[in-house]
Amino acid sequence: MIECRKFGYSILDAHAHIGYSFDGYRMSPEEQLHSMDILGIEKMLASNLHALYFDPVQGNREMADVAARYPERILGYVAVNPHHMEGWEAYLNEMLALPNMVGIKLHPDFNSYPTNGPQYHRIYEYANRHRLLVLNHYFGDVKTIVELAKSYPHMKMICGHRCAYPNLDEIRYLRDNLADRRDIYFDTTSSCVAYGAIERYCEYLGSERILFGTDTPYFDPAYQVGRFLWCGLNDRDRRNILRENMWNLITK
Amino acid sequence: MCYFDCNCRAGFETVPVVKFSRTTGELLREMDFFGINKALVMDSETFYDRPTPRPIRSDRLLPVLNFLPYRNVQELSRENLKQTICEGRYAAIRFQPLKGRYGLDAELFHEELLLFEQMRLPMLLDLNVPGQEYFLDYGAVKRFLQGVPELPVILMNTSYRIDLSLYPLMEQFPKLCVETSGYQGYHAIEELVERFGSRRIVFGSRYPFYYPGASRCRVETAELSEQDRKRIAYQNLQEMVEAVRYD
Repeated sequence: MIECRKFGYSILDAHAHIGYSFDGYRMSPEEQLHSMDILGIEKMLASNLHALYFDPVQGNREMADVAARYPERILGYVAVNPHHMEGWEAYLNEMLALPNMVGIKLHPDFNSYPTNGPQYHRIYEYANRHRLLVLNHYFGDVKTIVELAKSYPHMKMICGHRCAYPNLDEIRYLRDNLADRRDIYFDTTSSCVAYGAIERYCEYLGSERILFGTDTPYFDPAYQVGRFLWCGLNDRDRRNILRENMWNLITK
Repeated sequence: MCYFDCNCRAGFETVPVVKFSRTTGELLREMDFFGINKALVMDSETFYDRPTPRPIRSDRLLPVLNFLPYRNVQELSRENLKQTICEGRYAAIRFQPLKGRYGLDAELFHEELLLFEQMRLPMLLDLNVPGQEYFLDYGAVKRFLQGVPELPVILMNTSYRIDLSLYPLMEQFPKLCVETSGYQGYHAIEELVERFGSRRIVFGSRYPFYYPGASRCRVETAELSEQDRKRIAYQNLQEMVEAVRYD
C-alpha cells in the first residue's frame, strides 16, 4: 500500500480518465501513476476518453489493457454510448468479466443524450439486475436522481461532479428522499467545488456517501487533494471520502 | 513556505457561497488556518458596485481598489483617482470589464490605465463570465494590453483551458501573469514555468469561492525547484507591490 505522507493512508480516486481528449488534455498511464505517487493516490477508477468521445469498443479495450498492465493501481469503467447499442448486453457481459473492469461509465453531455433517455434506461435496468456500479457524468437534477434511485434500487449510482452544486435546497431534497439508499454516491470531482461544499454534503448526507475524484487528465489532481488537506472535516469523514467508501465499493 | 494571495475577498456576500468572512478578523483567522501569510483583499461591497469604501488594511492585508470606470469617470477625475489610491495605499487595481459591461476597449479609459502604468500598480484583470469560463478572447486582450504594455497585469479567475490564447499573450506581453486558482490543467504550471519562467505565475486562492487549500497544495507539490515554488507562492506578488509608486 502506498502511504500518503500527509494523511497517513492512501487515497482512492473514483473518477479519472485515461487517454487523450479532443481538446488536447492527455496523460499517459505512466504519467498518471507518477502523479498519483506524489499525492498518495493508491488506485484510480478510470474510463477511457476515446471510448467516451468516439469509439467505445476500441476505447474500452484500451482501458482493459491498461487495467491489466497495472492491476494494483488502475481499475476501469466500461463506457457506453447510447447511440450504438447493437449487441450491448453481450458486450457488457464480456467487458465486465475482464479483470479490473468494475463498472459502467456514462456521459450524457459528450454523447448528447438525455440522462433519462430510453437507451440509458436499458443500461440502468442491466446495472440494477447485476447490482453494478454506474458512474454518470450527470445523473440529472435532484428529482431525476431520486426517481432513478427509486426505480433501480440495486444500481449503485455515483453522481459525477455533484459536490460542485452546493445548493442547500437540493442537498436537503436528496437527504429527505434518499434516506434508505446508502449506495447512492456523490463525487467531489470538479474544477470549481465551492469552499465549504464538501462539508455541507457531509453534514446533510453523511460522509459515507461522498467519493473523492480527480477527473484527470483535465485537472491537476493536486487541486482536488488540496481541498482535503485544509478543510472542516474531521478525520473520520475525510478518511471515508478519500478512501474507505471506495474501498468498500470495490472489495464487496 | 510563505504564501501571498492575490485573489481574495472579504465582506458580506450575496452571491451563493457556502462560507465567507464578514470581517477582517474572520479573514485573518481563515488565512491562518490555510497557512496564508498575506493577501490582496477586495472588499466585497465594491464588487457590488458601491462607491469607494474604506480600504481593508492590516499588516497582512493589502487593499485592492475595484476600478469602475463609469463611476470613476463621474466621481473621480484622474487626479482624484491618484489621490484616492495614494491615500488608501491601494496595492492593486481590480478590473472586471465584462461583468461591468465596459468591454475591453482600452481607449475608453486610456487615461486611467496610463495612470496605473505610471504608478506601476498591478492590475488584477478578471475576464470571467459565467457560461464562458473556457474562453479567453485573445484578440480583445491583446488590443487591451497593447495600450499599456508596461502595466503589470495578473489574469484572474481563468479556467484551465486557456493555453492556446494565453501562451501567445505571454510571449508578446512580458508583464502579463496568471494566478493559480483556476489554472488547473495537469502540469500546466510546470509547462508554463519551463516556457516563460517562474515570474509569470502568482499564487491565488479565489477565497471565498474556492478552497484555498487547492491552490496551496498545487504549488507545494509542483515539480519545480524550491526557488520557483517560493517565487510563485510569495515573491512575485511581493515584488510587484513593493514596486508601486505612490509619489
